[in-house]
Amino acid sequence: MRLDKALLIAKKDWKDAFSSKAMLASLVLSFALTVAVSVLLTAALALGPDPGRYMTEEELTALRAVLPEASGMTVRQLSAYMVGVIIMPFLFMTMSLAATSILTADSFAGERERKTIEPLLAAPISDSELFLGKVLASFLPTLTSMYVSFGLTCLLINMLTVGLFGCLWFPPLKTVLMVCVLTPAYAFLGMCIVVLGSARASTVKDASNYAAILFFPLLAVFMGQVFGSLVVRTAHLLLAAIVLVALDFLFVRLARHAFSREALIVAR
Amino acid sequence: MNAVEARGLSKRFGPKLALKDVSFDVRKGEIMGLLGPNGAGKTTTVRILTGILRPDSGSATVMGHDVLEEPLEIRRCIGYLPETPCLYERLTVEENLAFYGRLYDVPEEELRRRIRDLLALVGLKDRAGEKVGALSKGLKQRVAIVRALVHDPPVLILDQPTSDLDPASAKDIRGLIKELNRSGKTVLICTHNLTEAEELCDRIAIINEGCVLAVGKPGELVKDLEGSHHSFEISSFGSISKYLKVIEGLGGVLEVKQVGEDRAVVVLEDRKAISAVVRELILKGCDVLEVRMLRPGLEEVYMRLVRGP
Ligand SMILES: Nc1ncnc2c1ncn2[C@@H]1O[C@H](COP(=O)(O)OP(=O)(O)OP(=O)(O)O)[C@@H](O)[C@H]1O
Ligand SMILES: [Mg+2]
Repeated sequence: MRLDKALLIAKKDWKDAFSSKAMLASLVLSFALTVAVSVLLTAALALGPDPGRYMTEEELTALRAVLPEASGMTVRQLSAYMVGVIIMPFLFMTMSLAATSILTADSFAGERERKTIEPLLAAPISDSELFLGKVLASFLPTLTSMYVSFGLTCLLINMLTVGLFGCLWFPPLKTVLMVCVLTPAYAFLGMCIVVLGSARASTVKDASNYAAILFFPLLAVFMGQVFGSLVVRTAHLLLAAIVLVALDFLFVRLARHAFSREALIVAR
Repeated sequence: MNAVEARGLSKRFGPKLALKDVSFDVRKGEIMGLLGPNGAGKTTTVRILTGILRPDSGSATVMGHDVLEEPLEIRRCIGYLPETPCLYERLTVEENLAFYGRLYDVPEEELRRRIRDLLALVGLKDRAGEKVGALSKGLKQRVAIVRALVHDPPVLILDQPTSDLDPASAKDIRGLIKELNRSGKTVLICTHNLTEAEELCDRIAIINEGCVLAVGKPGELVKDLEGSHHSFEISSFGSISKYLKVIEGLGGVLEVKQVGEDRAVVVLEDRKAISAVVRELILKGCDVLEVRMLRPGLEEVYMRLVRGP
């Protein structure tokens, strides 16, 4: 396996995908929006009118129940904390999932749809180098944008709320686990599913839709917390990380298997 | 050693047997044509040779490397032009070519020089910076040919290089192929264009429904067909109809057809019998104007093999 060949293919894919301004804009905008929403929401709750005014006693109790680690916090602190550990990770996860699946579909199904794959298959590279190149092409831009925007979010949130909390509190461990570990693992799973889908779908649009099924578990966990019936603890997140990484290994093998020269060229 | 050797290649797509026991050689330094109608199996054959498809049975070598055992080596030996140009339309001409050059490990300096020289060779000297999507079909085909040449391979496999091109561009491309052949490249070319096969190829293999029906020099294939029958066209001043019966009765005559008021085609077992036919016609009072031997062309050979007699 020669990493330089895989990188060559990935670079070509980036040049190709991002020569479409719409593609570049949608990647940058979706993460910019995630940062903006997270920061503005936190700012509004931490610095705006007292958030306690909008919540009933029952709602506050329910919120304290799903965030047991925040028991000693004031209403204002609790509200900002809720954005940081429930809403923001959800935004990062959905955006990363969407961005990866679009890039993956463009890289895998796109070569087929645009009929550019044949000379690449006739070039002296192994199936594994080709596969790795495509995986890097699909995954690295999302991962990079995600970490950069998360760093930016941490910086801005701390700047805005250092007064409220009296210390640099962000990100708490749960957020770190969700954004830095679970988000990449989940996006990677989405990528594998789109690769598997690309072997069946002949258009980029069809292929990118395959990852949509991964959106629903995220939504379920989010709603469960918002409606106060689901308590997510650090241990749960660690367990989820282990399961996801195992799933990633399983699915990347399946995807690698579905990705053979012959399968890429033979019409269905 | 031959440049390409295919032995008993078979390939099935689901229920469809696309290749049945295909064997042929391409000798070093020649232009070999795979000639056959749509769906004959030309593309399937060359995809096996480039290691894109695996044969169900049979084997093949390119420059002595086995397609199944040494796929990377054979791919390095081949410059492949697929049926469609397969270029990245959102990238420039140069970006497309540089990407492939690097995949084939061409050193950077050498690569830049080659891209420049090859683009000049195909008349695209000033277009290196243009997006491929903005080029016409014919120009894209030229860029695709340059891509096949960028690693300076000894063997070129060209799948219908001139289909979709206007006659002048097709002629240019044929000229280019001849020039590349003269500079030492072995060429395997798929085509269903008879004129192209006749003009370009040292030898051709006629393929239909996955079977190789004949292999040889275009002239030899024609001669083989000629061996079995000889046709002459006889024209006369005035109508020839009343003499048809006379000709039919003569020895060695297989068939007589009237093809116009004053013309008939006679098919003979032996061409020497034509003298007797003409002598008899003159004796019977026919004013013979012209006797012309009808030489079958590659087209007749092809039609006969592909369609049956
Ligand atoms: N990927 C595929 N899936 C199913 N059948 C295929 C596939 N590729 C080729 N075939 C079948 O195999 C046969 C040979 O096809 P092939 O493309 O090799 O023909 P060809 O000689 O290149 O034709 P053309 O001149 O039209 O390019 C055809 O009947 C075709 O339908
Ligand atoms: Mg074909």
